[in-house]
Amino acid sequence: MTTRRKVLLGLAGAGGAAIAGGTIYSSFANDDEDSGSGSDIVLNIGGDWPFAVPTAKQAKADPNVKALSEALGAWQDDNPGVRLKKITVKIWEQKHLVTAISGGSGPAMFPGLVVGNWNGGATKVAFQQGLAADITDLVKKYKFDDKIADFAKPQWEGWPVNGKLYCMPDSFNAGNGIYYRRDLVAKKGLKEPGLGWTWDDLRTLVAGLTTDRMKGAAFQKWGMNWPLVAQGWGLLTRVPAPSQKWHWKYDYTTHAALWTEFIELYRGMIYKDKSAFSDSTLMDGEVTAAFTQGRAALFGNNIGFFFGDPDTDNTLPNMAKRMDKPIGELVGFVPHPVGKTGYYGASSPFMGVTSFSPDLSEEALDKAVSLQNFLTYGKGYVIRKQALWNETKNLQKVYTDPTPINGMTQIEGIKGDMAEAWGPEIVKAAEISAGLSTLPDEGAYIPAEKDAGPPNTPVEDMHSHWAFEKGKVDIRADLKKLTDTHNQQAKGFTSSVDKADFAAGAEKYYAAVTEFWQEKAPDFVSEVLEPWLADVVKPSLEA
Amino acid sequence: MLFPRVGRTHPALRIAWWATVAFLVLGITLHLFPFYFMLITSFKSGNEVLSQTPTWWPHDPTVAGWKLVFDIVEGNSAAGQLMSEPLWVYMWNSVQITFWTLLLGIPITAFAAYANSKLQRGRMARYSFLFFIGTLMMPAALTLIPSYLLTRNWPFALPQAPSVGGTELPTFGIWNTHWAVVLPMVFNAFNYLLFKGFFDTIPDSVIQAARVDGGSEFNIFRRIVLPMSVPVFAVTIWTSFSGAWDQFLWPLVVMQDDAKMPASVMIYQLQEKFIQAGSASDAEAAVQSQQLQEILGAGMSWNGLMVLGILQSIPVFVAFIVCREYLLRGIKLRGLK
Amino acid sequence: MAASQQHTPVEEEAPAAARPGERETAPGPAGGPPASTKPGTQKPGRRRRVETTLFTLPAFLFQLSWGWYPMIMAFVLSFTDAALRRPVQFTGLESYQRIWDDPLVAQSFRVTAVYTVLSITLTFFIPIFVAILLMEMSRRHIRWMMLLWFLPLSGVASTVLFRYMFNAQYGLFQWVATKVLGLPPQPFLNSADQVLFWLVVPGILFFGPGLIYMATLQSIPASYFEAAEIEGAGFWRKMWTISLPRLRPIISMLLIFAIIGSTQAFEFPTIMTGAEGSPGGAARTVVMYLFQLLQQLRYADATALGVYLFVITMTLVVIQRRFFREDPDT
Repeated sequence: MTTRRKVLLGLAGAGGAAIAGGTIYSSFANDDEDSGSGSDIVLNIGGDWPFAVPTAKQAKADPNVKALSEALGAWQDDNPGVRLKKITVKIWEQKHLVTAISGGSGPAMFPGLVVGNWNGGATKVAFQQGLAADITDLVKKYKFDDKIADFAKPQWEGWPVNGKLYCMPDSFNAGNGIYYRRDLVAKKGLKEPGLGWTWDDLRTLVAGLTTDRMKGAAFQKWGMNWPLVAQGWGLLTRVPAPSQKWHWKYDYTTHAALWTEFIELYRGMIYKDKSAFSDSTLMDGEVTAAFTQGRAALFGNNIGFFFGDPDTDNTLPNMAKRMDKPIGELVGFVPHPVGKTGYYGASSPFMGVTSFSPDLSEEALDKAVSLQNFLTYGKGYVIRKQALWNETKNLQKVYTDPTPINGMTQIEGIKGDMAEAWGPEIVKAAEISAGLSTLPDEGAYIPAEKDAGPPNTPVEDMHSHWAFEKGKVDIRADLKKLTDTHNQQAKGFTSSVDKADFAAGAEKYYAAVTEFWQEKAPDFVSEVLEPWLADVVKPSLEA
Repeated sequence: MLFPRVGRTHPALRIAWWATVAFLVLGITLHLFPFYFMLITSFKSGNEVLSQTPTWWPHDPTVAGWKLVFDIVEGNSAAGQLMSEPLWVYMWNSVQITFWTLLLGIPITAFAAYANSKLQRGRMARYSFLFFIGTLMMPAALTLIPSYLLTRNWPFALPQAPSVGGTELPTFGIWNTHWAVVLPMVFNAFNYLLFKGFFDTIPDSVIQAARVDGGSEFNIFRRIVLPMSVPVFAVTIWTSFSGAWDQFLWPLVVMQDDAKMPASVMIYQLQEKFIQAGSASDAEAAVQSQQLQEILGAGMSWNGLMVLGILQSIPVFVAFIVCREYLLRGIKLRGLK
Repeated sequence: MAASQQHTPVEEEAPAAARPGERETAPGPAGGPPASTKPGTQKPGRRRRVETTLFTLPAFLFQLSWGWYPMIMAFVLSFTDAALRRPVQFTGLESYQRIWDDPLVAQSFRVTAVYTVLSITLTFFIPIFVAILLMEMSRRHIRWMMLLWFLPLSGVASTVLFRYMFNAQYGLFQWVATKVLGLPPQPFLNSADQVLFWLVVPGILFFGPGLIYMATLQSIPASYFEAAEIEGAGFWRKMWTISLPRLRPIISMLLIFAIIGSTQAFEFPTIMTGAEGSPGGAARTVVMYLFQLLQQLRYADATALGVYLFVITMTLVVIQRRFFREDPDT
């Protein structure tokens, strides 16, 4: 029996430490299940978003945090009785966030697109399922429509869900583009890319930049998407079909020649020229690191990557500092290459939105929106920037957003502006990027569905197949298979939108698209869009 | 014991013996290599970890990775905002959760497995077996939301307690307490399989003999089965321990207060921030770019990640060594030659 | 230790060494327990039922409350539109039909089947064999060899490590392929044909349940082997007739677990290849697809897929139990 005693002894030993504390039960007790009682309003702020509720110690250590706590202090002076409580929740992970909201333990505010896993349509579905508070009246009360900068307005128009608003705009990104090493382009005597360049130009540039030690380009795993979207993939691959149970059908074969050409081009860079690398696990972090560490001379991402902290590794400003060159001379940024006939898609700017917990009381909801308003459009934004300036006297740490959604490109009390902080080249690049008009959003024309419909998975599958399959691929057959798979999936869904409403909306949408491109890329309209609308879309809408 | 006791000097036998030893040593070497690699990588510099030709020894040894991690744990760096309590608070939470999981879970699971192995017969035993392992066959992701709702309103897996005649039924909320982590783990189907498999190898005759002596089933279990089963208890305690210690997804769902989180959650979150530094799409990148800057900015690379991995593994190693001791005592007990 | 005495008298009857198990229930030599296992020695049925219930009840309650109840709730939701925050509407079998028709579901089941077969053939048997061989070492050596062979790698740590090693640019595997073996750069996880194989490879040396085999092996009385040796049984014969039959119950249990585990493969493939199981969905298992459905907020569809998987796994387990009797004494 000695052994048994020893096992028990061992167990007791392991637990002894636990019991010795003597406070086991208390730590298991639930202190504040519903701290909303009483006069205090508690806003749960989770996952370090939109900010990490600062502690005094952190404020001392980090000027960013100090500036934040000053701004929050100012807001709390105006709103006594509101407590901000830090909670732990994985705010960027859809599964966790949706689970928390569905049982009533979600954070007071969260990035709206997370509940739809970054898909606009799915996000609207989530809104309709009740995963975010209806803030239509508060959007009016706080006048967000007036406060947002002009360049962001077209994006904002797509967000109402059947007349209601479940989110407010909180950030604007001037869009995606290509970062490249200007110094190397100059050294090798290559042609510097500019607005309106094409994918063939990019291929030549990448090949020219490739050396034994450095690849011309590093692409994230979804890089295959870019040359295709630039040709109209997405717009031209879906056909409205109100006569079907699900009102869309998928068609990847009509423009097969176009798709094939650009799939071959992308594959050519990786497998033939061996000038670019990509990988099924490559994401933003690694691609950026490859660029800053000199393993790749070009990469694609949004313009926000210019504005990192110069004091930390693997950011672009840090790379410039290390190489002792102004960042504007070292790194260039240009919107994605355009499509064959002038269409562009991959560079389109992007808006971030904030949604609020559906469980907040009316009063708490108002406070939450007020807080986000204060930090994004109000005094909070200014206080934060000013405090940061006073602490660091470093313009690069103050101006981190070339296209602030509140339009404040210059803040009083701070000597200097964006251009002074980053150099004229970068500001110019950001302006060009923001100047690309936003494409018409179908959400503004066609009523929102209650179901997200068939997912984009088959498309992603094909993209990764084309990007990573080293051997021969039969693209035409793949496109055919993709069409079949996607339509087969669509068969399982039923639209919640009335047939006639859908058809009317679709007609308005395509009219807007035509009008838009007539101005931007007349060749695209005459060569691609109009024939397609006449031959494919019109018969399908009338069927 | 597969090798004969006598005649070991026979050349053929000797070769076979040494071949076995060689095989085992080779396996051990291959097995240990990743551990070694992890350790040396943690001492490499940020550039060396990315070199195309791996180095077998840090050419330029640095404790930068370790220092960075300790800075973060101490809260001296930007990423340190993740941890608003000292690390020992999280460790203490882990200890408590693990302790209660083992204390409740091991006996309850063992009893059920014993009953199935030795007391139940025929159809009853079959159905009971499927009852206990059936839930393993449904992906846990699906029961996440109902289980979570259950912690909010036990015994109802609903967002709100149903009301009867206008009054809401009383519920018992364990959400945001350690019990919400412990209770769902008490019955462990994997340990159930291990116990059942082991108890099945105990000959029925042993138990029959005791029954003749008229002991109660509990006494038979305590006096006869338990001493024979020390090794399996050692193994299950170890698997339970590492399961409870290492888990991070469930605590994040059912707890919200930072001060109550186990250490694994904190380490995992930190690690995830760096591994998945990067978003799944352009849209996500656009919104997260500011945060991403911070992450990239913290200067974390593979060396720092390895440090986190090592820290997370240490308690598991310790538990493994302790349990192995009991396993070995079991061997001695059985008089193995 | 009462138990060990039960075993000691086995030695004399050599032929039985081939099937040592029979000894326990067959009329035994002197010193063994009374051979009769018939009613005379049984307790009254009622008392026994009560005892059985008491042994099972706590686990039963926990399994009911935290295992089956949430599962049944999920199952019920699969017949509705599964709206999370508004009243649900019944949709009948719509979700089941939609999942049945989805071509990607069929693909994910094929991937899972290949993964299961690969992972069981490559990783399941090695730990058994290793455990048997380790038991051959002297006690002093077992002590540290066991430690080194089965040294565990924490789950979180292993994913970091293997991602690092599989990196196509600077990973260790790529270095071995190009510099040591002189091959052209290998695609590893980027190739639809190879990806499943490489996902299984780390499991060959890691994550094996070797300890539990050792725990069981050491409970085999040495006398069994001695008796067989007197019979003239060699190395393989002893392994085949003593070690493996004695391990059979535990192998059977762990095989069930391996089947369930690999049909549910999710975490490791996701971290290694990304949520969509690229390239071309070649590494997208059923549960990974189920996760994608959840991400699209198709909760009812995801549950329907889960139910299909449940039915298939349950069938496999029932078949396994039928063909792989766990009782070593039969």
